[in-house]
Amino acid sequence: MGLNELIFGGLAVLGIAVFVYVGQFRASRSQRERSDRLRWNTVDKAQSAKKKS
Amino acid sequence: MANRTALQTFGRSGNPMFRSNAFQPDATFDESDSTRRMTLAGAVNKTGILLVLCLVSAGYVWNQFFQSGGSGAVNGLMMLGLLGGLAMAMVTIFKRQWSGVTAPAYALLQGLAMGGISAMFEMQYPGIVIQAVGLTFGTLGVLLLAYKTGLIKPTENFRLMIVAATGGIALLYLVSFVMGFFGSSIGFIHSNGLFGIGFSLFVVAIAALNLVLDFDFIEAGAEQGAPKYMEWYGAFSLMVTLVWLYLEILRLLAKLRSR
Repeated sequence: MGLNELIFGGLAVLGIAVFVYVGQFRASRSQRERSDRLRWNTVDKAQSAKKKS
Repeated sequence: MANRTALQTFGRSGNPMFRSNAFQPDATFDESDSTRRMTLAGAVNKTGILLVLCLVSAGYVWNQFFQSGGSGAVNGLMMLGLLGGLAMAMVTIFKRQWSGVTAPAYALLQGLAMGGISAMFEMQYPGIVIQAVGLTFGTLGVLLLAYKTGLIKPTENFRLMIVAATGGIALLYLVSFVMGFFGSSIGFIHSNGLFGIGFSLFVVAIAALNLVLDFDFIEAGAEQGAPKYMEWYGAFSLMVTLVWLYLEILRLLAKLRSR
């Protein structure tokens, strides 16, 4: 195994390991609790529509 | 164009995978059953499954390529992968409830195309594929850390910028593709000059920043208790971005190596 494979293969393994480990945790509070957060949701709208009906 | 107008024109996101009603539950969704809700761990596991499937089919085409000593033997498989992958992506986007079936099928088909393309690059520039793979997953890990810690905070303006840039790049590629039929092309896209490399760097940056939108999409889905099949959908959206990022890094490295 050459140095190229060792360095970039290692980087790939490290990246996947970080993804698998860190990916399972929720984002930090500063990420989640801010006013300018992206709004993806319509679940709330669907739920509130359900409640109304 | 004011932000608000642009957002209304293009929707909350121009990316059809990130439609504003993406998390809307279907008629069969039971809100009270927490085991049928999307979780972060579920999305991560399913992304892992898609990556393994992609790797398996890519490995098969890769072996076929090098055993036969050329692309002739794998051209059919590559075309099947490209067209089949596109079809599966379309089905997944418009019928997200089917993601559990269509996302793995997409990964398998996309692997066929990736295996062939990677083998072609590897034949021309030995060692380039492992570099592209390493940089792709390295970027994934670093950006996930940056997102989770709050270092990168996606906002509406951020999304608007990324969606606009992604759309612009797609349009440029489409024009270049059509021009190719008439024996012409947009030169700088494929050139290995400074402008061509700069363009590739820009595209890699935009592809990488699309990962941040994917992370936020998955995070929001898990927070809102989206239906379970959205784990597959989130994994699929991440997979699409990773495939794009990988291809762009591969192109960038090839340009650098050909100088």
